[in-house]
Amino acid sequence: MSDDALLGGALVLMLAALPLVSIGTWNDIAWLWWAGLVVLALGALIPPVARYALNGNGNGNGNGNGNE
Amino acid sequence: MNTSDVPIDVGYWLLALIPIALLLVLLAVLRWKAPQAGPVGLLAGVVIALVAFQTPWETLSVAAAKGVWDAIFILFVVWPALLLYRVVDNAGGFAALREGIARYSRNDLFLVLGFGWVFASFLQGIAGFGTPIAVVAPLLLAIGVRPIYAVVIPLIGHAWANMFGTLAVGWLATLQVVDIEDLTETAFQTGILLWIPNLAAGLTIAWMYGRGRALMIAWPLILIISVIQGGGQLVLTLWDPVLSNFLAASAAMLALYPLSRWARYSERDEDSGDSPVMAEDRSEDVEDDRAPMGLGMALVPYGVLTVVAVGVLVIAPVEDALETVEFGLPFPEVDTGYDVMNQAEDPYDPITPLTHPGAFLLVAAVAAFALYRSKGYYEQWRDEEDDVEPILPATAGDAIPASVAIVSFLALSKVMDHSGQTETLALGIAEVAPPTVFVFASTFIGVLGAFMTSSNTASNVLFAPLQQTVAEAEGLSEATIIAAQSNGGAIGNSIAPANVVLGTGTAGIVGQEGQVLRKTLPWALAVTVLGGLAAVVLEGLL
Repeated sequence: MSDDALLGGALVLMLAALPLVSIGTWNDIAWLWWAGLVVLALGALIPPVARYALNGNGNGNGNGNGNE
Repeated sequence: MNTSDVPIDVGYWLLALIPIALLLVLLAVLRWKAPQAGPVGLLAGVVIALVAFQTPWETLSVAAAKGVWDAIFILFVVWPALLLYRVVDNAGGFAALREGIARYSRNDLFLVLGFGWVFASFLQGIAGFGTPIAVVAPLLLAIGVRPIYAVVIPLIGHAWANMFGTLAVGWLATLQVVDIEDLTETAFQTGILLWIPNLAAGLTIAWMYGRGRALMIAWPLILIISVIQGGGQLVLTLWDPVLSNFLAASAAMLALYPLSRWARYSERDEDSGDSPVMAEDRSEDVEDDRAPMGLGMALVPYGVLTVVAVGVLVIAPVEDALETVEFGLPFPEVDTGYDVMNQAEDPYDPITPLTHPGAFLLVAAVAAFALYRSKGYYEQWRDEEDDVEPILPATAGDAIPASVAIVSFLALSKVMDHSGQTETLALGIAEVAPPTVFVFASTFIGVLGAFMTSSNTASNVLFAPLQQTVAEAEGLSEATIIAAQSNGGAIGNSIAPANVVLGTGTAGIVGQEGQVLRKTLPWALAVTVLGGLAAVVLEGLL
């Protein structure tokens, strides 16, 4: 899976957490805001985990053209 | 800021500093990409909130979700700005800009200052949320500026305009959270302090371009523009702070025309090839003359952007009508074991999408697309260029990494706020600093707030109440302390990670945020020290 696809997935998860947490906490539905928190945590974990687990070299390079 | 039982000692202060320090080390020292460093900073903030600051899981979830919501305000600039960039670029618009501007003016130093300082400040006057960086970075690329500098220059160039920019949204927000005794005095002192980053921006951009040689050429322009921008804003704060930046920044834009006719700035700078700011191969591109449109046509989207933004923000009935469209999500009251309370809000910080700068950028992008398509520029440019990526996939490819980073930064900011880490950091400084040192440090507190939130407004909302409380307790001038806080909030925008990512995203160098920070951090530090010293002088004089 490409870096862009992983980051896209991470972004979708982080954004998806927003209504889950809002509705869950406002209406006191614990499982819903917990689901939101887990989804947010998963989204936040993807980029750093991908840096080491998927790129293998630990430097996570792949974007940027190196120009200054 | 709430008054709570959050511990204020060295241990807790250092713990609260960890997420920010970690973020800086990952970005500037280890050169991680922002989309990877941001989530690590967020996770560090969450762990510290849970372990040390007695923050319940529900409070954490509400804080993080509010941060995601705050990020949407910035993402609504990032995506339309990148869309506009691709709409123009895929029609050959940036090639036309490069060719047209090279014919119009061959003085790169003038162009770099004109776009990176004067135009960026003008854009901040009419639209905030990072719009100047997102719009100016590609324009600087088009005239041959290296990608890193194309991000660094508008970051530095627009910073001073943050406080009173966007029709003084930062000033108005400050008035919402603190009861200021002497509004005129406070606005005036803020104007004095903001003149420092304004003048320093012009001087620094010229220095970056060509050290002492460029300063010798540019100093009359820098002085004239700075008197109009910084001095004009200062004088106008006495009349109406809300219009002070917009009018001063607009006047500076108008002043560019007569300056461009001055031989000093209209003739080619023969030594520009030595500038570290300019790309080595730009002249070859310019000679090609392949663009399907002229300079005027290439500038149409930016004209549309300006007209729409000014029209909506200045014509009150139009703004009032558009602001009727508003929405947001509710969040309940949450607290921590240390009584850091955050009230319920329904809705929390609602967005008015039709008066948001993102809407102006979208209108410009759609109008440009319709115009260029009707003229057949996309087909012509595809025939000319082999590797033209479709507009929407290219936009998403640039925007997604920047978006992940921005969401992480804003979520971290809210987690630190709702858990009491931010309060510990600010109160820790206030508690150990003697009065004079606190006056000096108040600018740094403003910078800290803007670094965390990527917003002058949010920095002031976060820290102005604390600064005012300490000013009263220590017998300091309220006007000077609020002015110093506001100046710090403006300066901090030059190093705010979300702003940096906005620039690297639009300049096509996502992952090089550390290199950008290595150039903006020293500037921000130096200007903050100068601002702090000036605040000490103001405290003594006024």
